[in-house]
Amino acid sequence: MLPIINLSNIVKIYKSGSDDLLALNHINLIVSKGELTAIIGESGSGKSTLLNIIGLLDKPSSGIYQLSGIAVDELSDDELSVIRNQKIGFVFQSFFLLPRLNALQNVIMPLIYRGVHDKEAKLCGMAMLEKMGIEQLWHHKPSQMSGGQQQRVALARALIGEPEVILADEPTGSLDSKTGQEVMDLFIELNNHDRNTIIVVTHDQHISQQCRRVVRVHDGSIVSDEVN
Amino acid sequence: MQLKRHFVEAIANLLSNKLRTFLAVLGILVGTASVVAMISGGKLATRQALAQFKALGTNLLSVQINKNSNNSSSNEGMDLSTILAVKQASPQIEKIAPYTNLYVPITYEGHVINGGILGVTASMKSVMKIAMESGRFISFLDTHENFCVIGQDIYQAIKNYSVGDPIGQQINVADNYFTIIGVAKAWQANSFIYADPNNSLLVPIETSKLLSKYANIDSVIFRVNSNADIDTLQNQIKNYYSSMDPGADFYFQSAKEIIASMQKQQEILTVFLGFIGSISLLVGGIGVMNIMLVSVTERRREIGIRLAIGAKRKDIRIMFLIEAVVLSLFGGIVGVILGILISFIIAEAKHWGFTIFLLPPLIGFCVSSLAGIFFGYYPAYKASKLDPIETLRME
Ligand SMILES: Nc1ncnc2c1ncn2[C@@H]1O[C@H](COP(=O)(O)OP(=O)(O)OP(=O)(O)O)[C@@H](O)[C@H]1O
Ligand SMILES: [Mg+2]
Repeated sequence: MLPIINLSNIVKIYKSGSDDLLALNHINLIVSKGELTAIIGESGSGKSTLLNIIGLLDKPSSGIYQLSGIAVDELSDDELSVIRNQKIGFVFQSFFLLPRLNALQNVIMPLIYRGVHDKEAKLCGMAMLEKMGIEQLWHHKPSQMSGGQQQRVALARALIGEPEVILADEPTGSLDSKTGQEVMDLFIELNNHDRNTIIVVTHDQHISQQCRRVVRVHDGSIVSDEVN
Repeated sequence: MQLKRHFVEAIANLLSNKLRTFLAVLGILVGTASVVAMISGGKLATRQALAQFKALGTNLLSVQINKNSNNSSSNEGMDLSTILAVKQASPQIEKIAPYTNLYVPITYEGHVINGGILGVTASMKSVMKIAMESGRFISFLDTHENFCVIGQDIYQAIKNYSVGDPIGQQINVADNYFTIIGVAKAWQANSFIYADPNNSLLVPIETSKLLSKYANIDSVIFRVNSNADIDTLQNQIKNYYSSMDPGADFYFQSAKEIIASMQKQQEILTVFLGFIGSISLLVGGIGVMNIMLVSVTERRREIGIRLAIGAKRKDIRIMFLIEAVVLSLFGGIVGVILGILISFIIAEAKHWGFTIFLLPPLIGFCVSSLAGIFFGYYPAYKASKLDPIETLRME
């Protein structure tokens, strides 16, 4: 299998005053195309830190990270932006939609930053909303939608650029278990059907059980990595 | 991302917070309005000043002859022929119009008429560009006749007491009857000639000297060759008159000099008002900067989201910069409109003609958008340097 994500000896140290905090301690992780992976671990174990480094939002203190064959630690901020735009789709716990824009405008943002024209982007965006089953809400602002609906918009936004990997940090954390399961069903569907590579950080054992691969983090280290 | 989209988003964002937007641009608005008003007003004033001379021409020179109080030997002053003989002093003199100005009681049909007497020669008509409504002007043949031409205001006054043709009617001046031989059209006053023909009876200059012993020829207006060197000419005239009347002082004024000093005053005023305008623009710009900094802080999360989904730092910078420019341009547009309105009100109040000049609004737009770029740059730069992780961290 083609490795999309290849982390070797990743260390992240937060310097806070006199004592340094070792948030990630020599992480080695390879994720291949088409995998659905859950990252679990107690609060403060370093799950988000790991996901942010994978998502190029944060930089490791040391170690080598290759994203689909590209060594990313030498890249400039703007080059990282381009890679985030083209290869990565983010889903966050609290959705992070832009409040002034409607659902469709939110969904097409990645394409707009890519320079795609408005009309074309909107056609794409409508197709994406349809896939998420919320095309009738395209003109709604985030404040006019339920949490589950907002997360579907966020997922549509993550998918629209056809990224190589979807990174979701507690995507069901703000939802009730029923809506959370519906969102999880979408992830599974995307993984089964479209062979999307997906990494989900979660607290919820119920969610992680549904993933083929489960990586457990403890105190900044990977303590287990199981494939069901 | 296309520029057009940035503008659309900036406008949408500013409209979503109308009151704040309005308060933020108030300074820019006032600054632009004052810059536009002052330049427009200045241009209108200059044009108005020049318009006075449009009818009259600028090739004019006037001399005021004042008795030197220490020297009582020549209290009579120069006589008419001496005054006129100055023409020999320079070939640049085209026409000479000396006049006397005196105030004596005037009555018509027993009613008191308020007005003065101007003793003039025939050349006064062409030098002062007096147009006739009816009848004729004073002629050189009229010398000591008791004829008079009445100004427009006088004509309006006597119309109250008689309906017929004024020509040939009698008007009483210091117990002498004068025959009206002509009615002058309204004459446009200007800052160069002190005499007011509208409110005067124009009589032959020799006649005026008979009316009062105080009727001295104390003013002379020259129409000169338009290429003449005014300073040289002034000296020639002065030398001549001084030799004829050593007991007098001479004060010269030329139309060109008056225009130059008006323009100079205008320039000083423009610089002064420009300074005030710049200060208010500076204050306005700081207002824009302040509001943009607040906006950046409020929209940290949005900036983080945009960076996460692929915005480059440049995109963030342009987004905020364009918002600042749109903000100040909005202030600029309203300010330009307000400024034009103010200059219109000034023009109305002063009875000037009003025109919209192209330059002041252009300067207004440029200055306000430049203020937007200048004062919006730092907030935009600050926004573009935010760390996505910091901005996306949950509170
Ligand atoms: N910017 C920072 N400065 C200092 N310490 C940080 C910073 N970000 C994270 N940390 C620390 O790094 C450790 C890992 O944090 P991280 O957010 O990755 O945990 P997590 O596993 O995602 O926890 P949770 O399940 O609560 O989200 C924590 O101890 C946290 O306090
Ligand atoms: Mg976390």
